[in-house]
Amino acid sequence: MSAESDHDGVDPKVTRDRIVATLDAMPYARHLGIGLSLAGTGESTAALFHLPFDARLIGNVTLPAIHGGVVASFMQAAALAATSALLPEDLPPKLVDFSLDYLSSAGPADLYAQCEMHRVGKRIAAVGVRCWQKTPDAPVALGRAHVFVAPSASDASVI
Amino acid sequence: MNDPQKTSLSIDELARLFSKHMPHGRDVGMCLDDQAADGKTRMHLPPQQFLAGDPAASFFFPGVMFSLADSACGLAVFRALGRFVPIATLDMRIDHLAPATMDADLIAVAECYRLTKPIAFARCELLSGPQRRVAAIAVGTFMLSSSSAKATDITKFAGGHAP
Repeated sequence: MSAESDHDGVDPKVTRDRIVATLDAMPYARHLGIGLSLAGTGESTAALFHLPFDARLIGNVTLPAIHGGVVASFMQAAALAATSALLPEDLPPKLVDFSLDYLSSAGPADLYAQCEMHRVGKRIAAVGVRCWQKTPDAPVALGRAHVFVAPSASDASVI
Repeated sequence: MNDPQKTSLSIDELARLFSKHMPHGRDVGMCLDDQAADGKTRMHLPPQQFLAGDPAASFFFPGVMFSLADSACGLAVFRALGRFVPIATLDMRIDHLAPATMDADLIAVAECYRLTKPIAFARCELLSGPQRRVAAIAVGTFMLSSSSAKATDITKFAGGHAP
């Protein structure tokens, strides 16, 4: 996965702060416990998102496995936060659609995610999200999000 | 609790048991409604501050809606099957038509609209606000377990009672 940043001029520290601030502004992301991992990911400069395991995230007790909706929430929060780092500060990104392929069940362990900005346009950003537990080469889920990044007069007028 | 494989609980009661004991469902507060005459599976999720996606807590976080849709679609598949077979979500897609306001319960209305041996197809509408406007539509495919010989221990599956 290429995570080459098109925004080499951006200070990584500022980007990091923006991502943390966006996560912090989403109550459910806080509730889940989503954070940024400090660990480096080799060559990649993309932010590494981290969701520590907790028993309340379980959806299937038999396996056991983390609920698919939790995996989705984690990946959506990552996509929104990664996108927000590229936007003006007072412009919250909005999710237009999200598509998720589950490749394997997510066991009772921490989740990690990284985003790839496929395209950042004037109004829409296309974002890919990879989510894994042991290694990025063995993803548990791959997601695709369209994020609305332009200001809108009111939410009602979009419809 | 009796031997679950000899239980006389209906699929509806089992579905209720299942949704009630799932840790994530309990965490967010998902509720399964009685099956309606139209055969669709309805769930609702009362608004709580921590389920919000914005600091003012005006709108549900999109992932919460995805989660409710995934759960409702899964239960719709169980109901269509008439029994509990382990299923796995292959993929799910959600389109957000409007922000889901937190001034009323979030409602999921799901149906399994095609059932084949290995795959079940389900879709779900998510309604929000006092007017129950459609806020999102989700579509998903589910893989049914091939090991149908062994009946699923539903009480264990539901996480309620250890055998």
